[in-house]
Amino acid sequence: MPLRFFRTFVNPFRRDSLEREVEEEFSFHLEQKKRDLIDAGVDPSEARRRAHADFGPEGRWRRESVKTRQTGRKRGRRIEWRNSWMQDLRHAIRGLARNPTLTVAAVSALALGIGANTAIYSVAHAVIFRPLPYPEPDRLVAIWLRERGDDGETAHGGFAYGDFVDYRDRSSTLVDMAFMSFFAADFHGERPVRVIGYTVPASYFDLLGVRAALGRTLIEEDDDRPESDRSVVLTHAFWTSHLGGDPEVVGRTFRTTTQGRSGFFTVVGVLPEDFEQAPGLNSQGGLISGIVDLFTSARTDPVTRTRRGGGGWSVYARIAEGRSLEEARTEMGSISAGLAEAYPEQDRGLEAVVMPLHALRRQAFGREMALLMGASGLLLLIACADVGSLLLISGNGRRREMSVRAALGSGRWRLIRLLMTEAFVLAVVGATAGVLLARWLQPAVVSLLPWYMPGANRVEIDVGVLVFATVLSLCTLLLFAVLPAVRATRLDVSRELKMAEQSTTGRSGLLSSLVVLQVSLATVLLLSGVLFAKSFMRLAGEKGFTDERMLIVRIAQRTESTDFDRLRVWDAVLRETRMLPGVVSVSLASHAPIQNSAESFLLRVPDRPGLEIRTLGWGVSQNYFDALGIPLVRGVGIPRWDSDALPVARRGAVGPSWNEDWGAFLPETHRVAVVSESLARTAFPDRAAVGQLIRLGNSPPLRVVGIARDLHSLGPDHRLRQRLDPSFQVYVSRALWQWRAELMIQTADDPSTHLTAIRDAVSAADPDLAVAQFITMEQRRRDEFARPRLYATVVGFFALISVALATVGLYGVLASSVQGRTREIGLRMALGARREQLRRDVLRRSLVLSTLGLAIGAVGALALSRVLDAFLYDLPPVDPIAYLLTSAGILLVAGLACYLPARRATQIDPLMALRHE
Amino acid sequence: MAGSSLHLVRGTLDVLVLKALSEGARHGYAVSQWIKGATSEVLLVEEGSLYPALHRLEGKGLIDATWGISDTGRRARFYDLTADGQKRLSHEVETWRRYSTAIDQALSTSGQEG
Repeated sequence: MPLRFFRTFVNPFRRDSLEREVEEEFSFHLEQKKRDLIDAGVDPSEARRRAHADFGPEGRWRRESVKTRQTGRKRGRRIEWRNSWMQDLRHAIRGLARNPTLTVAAVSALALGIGANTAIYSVAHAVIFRPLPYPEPDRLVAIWLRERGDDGETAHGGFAYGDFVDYRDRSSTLVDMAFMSFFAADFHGERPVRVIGYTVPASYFDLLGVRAALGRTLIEEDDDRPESDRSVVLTHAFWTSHLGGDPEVVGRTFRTTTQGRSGFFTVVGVLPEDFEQAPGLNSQGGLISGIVDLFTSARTDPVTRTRRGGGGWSVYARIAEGRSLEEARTEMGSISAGLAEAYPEQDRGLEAVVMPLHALRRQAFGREMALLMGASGLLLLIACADVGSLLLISGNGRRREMSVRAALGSGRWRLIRLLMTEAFVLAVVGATAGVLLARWLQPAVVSLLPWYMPGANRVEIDVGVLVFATVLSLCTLLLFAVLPAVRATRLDVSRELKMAEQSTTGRSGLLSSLVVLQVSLATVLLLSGVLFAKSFMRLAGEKGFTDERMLIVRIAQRTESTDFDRLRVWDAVLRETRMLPGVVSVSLASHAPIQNSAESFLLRVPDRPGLEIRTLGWGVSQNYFDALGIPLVRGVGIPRWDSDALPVARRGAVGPSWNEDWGAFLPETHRVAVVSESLARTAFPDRAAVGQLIRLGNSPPLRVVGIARDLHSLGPDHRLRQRLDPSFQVYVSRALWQWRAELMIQTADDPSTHLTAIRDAVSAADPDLAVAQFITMEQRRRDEFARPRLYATVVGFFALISVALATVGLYGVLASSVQGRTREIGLRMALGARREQLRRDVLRRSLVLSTLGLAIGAVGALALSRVLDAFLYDLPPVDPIAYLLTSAGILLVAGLACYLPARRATQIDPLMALRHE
Repeated sequence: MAGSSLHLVRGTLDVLVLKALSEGARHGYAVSQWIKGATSEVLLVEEGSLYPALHRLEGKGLIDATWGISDTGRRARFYDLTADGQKRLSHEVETWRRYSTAIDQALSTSGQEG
């Protein structure tokens, strides 16, 4: 049968056979005619002539006939083919509709597997795989300097201007070399705002091949403009949000303040909306975020020009036409060696590292994406196993139907095709549902991504992944749909008709392994989900301060003012904002309790020379502990500060930063500190901390006046975690720390409704103050906990789905086994077996399968624990409670799955069952 | 042939073939003989032209073809009406009747007025 099928398929319309047939038809006609004429008395040769004459041009008729038959036959075949497929399709749809439980279960499993993978891979594509949106993105490289210290440790850093010029001028393999130097400035538009900008040379835009949407990008002349009068190119987002998308913006000049120096920005252009800043490492080794307001260029001052030996600049370049990455690396290496010789003081030990930009992006975010992709891949496997087992069950259940069909003469191929059509329908419906699911899932995943991940706004359904997941599911479907059919049709039909029922149990080996596979994979996912959830909840659950309706307002101070001026400005800001209606409390701190830019200090105790403790530090207002609900366990808090109470003689004190004289101008009552419990225990293990003296960095001695409860302040990914114990915390008076401040404003209702009023109040305190940022404490915590939240939410969600799928799979096997053993159960009941015993049988089978799966899964998870460890915070991957919870979850699954089948088993009527064929 | 022979109007051959087969399966030669007899040899059909027509109808699914054995014991291709062909035939007959009636009518009225 398959051979014939093959032959007709490959060459169904063989011309020569048609020609022979037509020839035979014609010769029959002519022969018949001749015979009739001869019978009518015509002489044979005349009869022959007349027959041919009446027939007409034989060659023409032959050609026409062959041609018509050929097309007719083709069409006929096509119609037949189509009709039979349509018939199969109708059959398939009817068959699926007849078994809604199976259909819904299979389609849901497919949709979940395909949808989850499509969503996750689409996100991964946008974040790490998508080609960077520049011409020839593969030729773009990032360069940084690796410093090999004397102790063999290496540190990564950026360039200083001198380094940049050296490398740029000496390299022939890299062209369009450009740097990017971060700055923050106050931009005086309608009202002052703090902007994030990058100083770049004009070549930056050539390098990325970016053209302005409005006006122009920077040109070489801009590189020579004085720092006080610069050209700027605005990002589209800044232009629309802060300048109302003013179409006349090109040519407008704005007053600015950068590091205390006033100047002007003249807008020369606006970047296109889809412009994407080059990804790069910042000075801390993190990735430069996508948040930037403007780019500017300026003449570099003479001091900066000579700076070399590493700095904070990110450097990018393009590999020259016809040169390779290897050549560039070799050349950069020799330049590094040359520079180390020429400037041994600054450049010794520095080595330029060249990395393709796309590799850098993958290195920065590959880990997160790999975890998500791994979890969704597991889910797809479980879904496939689930659908496979469901189809096997339904196929076994239909062996009688198959046998009947075969007995009625349906060819084996035809049966297989029917089942394949069913599988195909399931796959199409599943994939469609999967796409819908992905569209819903995708924004949810995107909203969980850490804010600094690039490309989150460029996520689109990835068709490649969709096709891959669908094809994989289809293969599974075909395999498990067709397998029972092949078996059913291979066996002796009459025997099969009799034996159909009994043989179901004999073949459950494959089915059981599929279910065990599902349970074990679900165990791995569930265990990971539990671990991530536990890790996240431990991190995020403990705060030690209140964040309800709490708004953080970061205000950028003018840096040219004196300490005293700044203190008075803060006084005014506190005064103005406190009076706002709906405001519950206003406190002020150098930075909020949870903060990306936390600062650390070396704490020394004058009495204990040699003791150095790195600790977190804050400068806070008097009501800070109250407002944030941080309990003082001993002593008192920070005293209230009033600038006007400071003796006039001391008001002139000027300190640009925290230097030796820091705080020396303050009355002794303000030279105090509050330390956290942990810090107090560590710094003063043998005596009461209150009353002791400490020094922070170069500060004057500060008297410890109180002890505060530890609070959880550093985000889990904070770089400072590697350098200090985050429970070491110290608070000083805001008077000692006036150069930087954030307001913590708690409101009676939704804090976002107060933004304008707060802005106005800040302006009323000082019209030149720029509000750099509004953010709720909750949002900041979200940002800081983005990674653990992402892992816990996505993996946890997938784990729940996989457990549900495994339950369905297990249920299916148990139900079909009860169904298949109806006779046996009936017999046992007739022989006096108790219902309890039958129920226990089903439960036992459920437990055996799930425990086996659980054991395999646990071993798998143990093997994976090193991988998991990389994503867990403060939690070992082999956590007994997590294993316990997972086991409980899987056993619950076993119980749930066997409930209905067990009930059915006990409800079997022995009489009916024995009559059951 | 009596009077003048008429060349077949295009498409009418199909109707005649269907009609020929409405009485049972025939091979091509028998169809040609039937047409000759039924039209009293007024219509001029080149016998060979029958075959492309038969094959066309077969392709359209209006007739079926099977190889069989003729009265004379030779292998011949027999044609038979399908259900579709049956339907088509009655439809064509109806159309043809209306058509010829209309033409008849038109020709006779124009004679009176002219």
